[in-house]
Amino acid sequence: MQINFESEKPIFVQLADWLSDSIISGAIKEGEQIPSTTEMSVNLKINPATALKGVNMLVDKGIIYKKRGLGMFVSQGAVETLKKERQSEFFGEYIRKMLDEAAKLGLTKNDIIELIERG
Amino acid sequence: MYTKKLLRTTWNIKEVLSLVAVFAVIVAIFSFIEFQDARGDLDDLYKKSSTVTQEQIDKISVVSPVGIMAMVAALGFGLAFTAQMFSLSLQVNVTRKHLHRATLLSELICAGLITATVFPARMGVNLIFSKLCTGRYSVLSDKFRDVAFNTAPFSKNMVASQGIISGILLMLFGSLLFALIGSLLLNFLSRFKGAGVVAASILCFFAAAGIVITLIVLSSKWISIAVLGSLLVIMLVAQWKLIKTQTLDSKSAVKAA
Amino acid sequence: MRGIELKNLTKHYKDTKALEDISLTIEYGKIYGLLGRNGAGKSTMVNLISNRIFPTSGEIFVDGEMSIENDEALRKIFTMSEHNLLPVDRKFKDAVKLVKEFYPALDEDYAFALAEKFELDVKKKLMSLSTGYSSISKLIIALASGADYIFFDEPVLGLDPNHRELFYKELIDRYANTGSTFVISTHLIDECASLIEKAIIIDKGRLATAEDTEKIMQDSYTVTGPAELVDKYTAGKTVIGSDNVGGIKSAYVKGKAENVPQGLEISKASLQSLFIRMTND
Repeated sequence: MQINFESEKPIFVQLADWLSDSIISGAIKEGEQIPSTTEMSVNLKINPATALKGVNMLVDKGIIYKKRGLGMFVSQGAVETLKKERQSEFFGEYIRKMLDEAAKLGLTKNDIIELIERG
Repeated sequence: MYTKKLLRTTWNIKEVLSLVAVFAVIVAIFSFIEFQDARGDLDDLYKKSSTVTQEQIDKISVVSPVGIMAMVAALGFGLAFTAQMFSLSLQVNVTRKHLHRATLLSELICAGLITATVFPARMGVNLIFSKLCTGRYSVLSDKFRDVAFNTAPFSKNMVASQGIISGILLMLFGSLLFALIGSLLLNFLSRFKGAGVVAASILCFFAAAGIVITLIVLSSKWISIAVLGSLLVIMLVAQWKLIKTQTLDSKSAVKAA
Repeated sequence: MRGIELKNLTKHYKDTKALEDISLTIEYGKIYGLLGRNGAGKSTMVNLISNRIFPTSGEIFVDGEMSIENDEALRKIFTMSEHNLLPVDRKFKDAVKLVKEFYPALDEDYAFALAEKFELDVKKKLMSLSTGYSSISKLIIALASGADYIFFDEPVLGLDPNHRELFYKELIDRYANTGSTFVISTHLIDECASLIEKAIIIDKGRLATAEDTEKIMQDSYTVTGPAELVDKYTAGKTVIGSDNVGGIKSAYVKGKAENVPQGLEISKASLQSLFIRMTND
């Protein structure tokens, strides 16, 4: 994974997103340990405090939990939680933008539906 | 504690010993040459008349290159070690209080090393000559020892009839003074640039020469000691004041110079 | 109170005012970037903190204690800079041991492990090292020193990109393991913007800002587009600086982007470009 330093998205959010993606895709399974913040910060060349912030964001959401002395693990049911979250974000993240762009280009609702069916 | 550490890390035993060894060899060679000359002069004296006075013998001794070399070595040591210790103290965050103590101790060690090198070397050569002389000039071996220790830059009158102990003390004292000059010289060099450096160097050279000449010319042992003593006090105070205010900026000036 | 506190720190030379009335705190346990143009006063600040030069006025406290000529306080600080202050005739491995005499917490094994990673020959004398490897030898000792506050004044001078990357990664790793404060004074801002948590920017001897890097970057944005449109948009806003290339203008604006009209593009400003705008005359 590469951090995009040009992006509007803060680094810790990018990190949290990458971890979430890995969890949803099953690359890191529920109950499995995630890489340590040290490891992640060294590999991504970011400040460990930033990495910790990203991880804590997921801890707050219940996606990840800390086992004292052992590390951080993916919670049971994390995939479900993430999917539900993403689904509710889907409209704002993708649909809204698509509609805005379509309006810019002068596409009608039927044009959009046709394009969706094509894809 | 930091003083000891500074000393321990700057005075690299191996280096020092090899330097001392080389210096001892040079001193021995020069002493050899010097004594050859002195023996020649004594020979001449005895050729002219069978009775020779102490006064006449005293006049034989001249400014010994070995003595000067020892002082110059002290100066060189002073410069080198002081510079290294100062830089080191800046890197390892040791305060100037400890740097000053370590510098003083270094100067004493330096003076001690030089004295410990010069004396045995000279005494060694002297003993050889005494042995050689005893065969031909049995009465001369004592007088010859007096000549041997009439070592400039210290006045003959200070050494004559006092022999080894005072000779050692004077050499120690002289080396210490010159080591101090070295340290002060470094400090001056580090604070001035360009023309200032030249001026400071000339100043130090004349100070050193002044000490040498004063001591040769002054006839009274006690006046000489008083002069040397005052000079020592002044230089020690100057050194402390200079070290207290030394900074990295001064060091950069040394590089620039 | 843990940290290094500067109170009204000022350093004047005969002809120049190197630092003027600097007051700030360097907290324990963070990675700082000390940023400034050539001659801004960064090295002066580091040298003052390290007791290598004396202030004209002002005070420096290390963990609550006045640090000038204070052995105990200064023990907590280690500084690496362009100056080669260790005896140059020593081999690297001996230099490490030498420093350990004064910094007992220095981790020798770690130092030698780093030397291996950087491919530094520990048997080489310091004076026979190239510029790059001289920097490497110094930064290794600094990283291994075990001090609470470690200052790097232009640590990557002469280092190739591979070694620079290795240095940043090792620094992050060491920081994660020891929690010491690391202060990096550098020109190469974009290279280390991601690792520094807080940025101290010095401009012409004065403190321009001391802030979380994230905050600095979130608090500003770049707006790009046709010069006229950009000017219209930025009217009344705090503009830090701007670039103009053939009619297309990029303005660096403080605050959050709102109501952006068509034809204008908003993007994040990099710390380096913000820095350049902030410190240009």
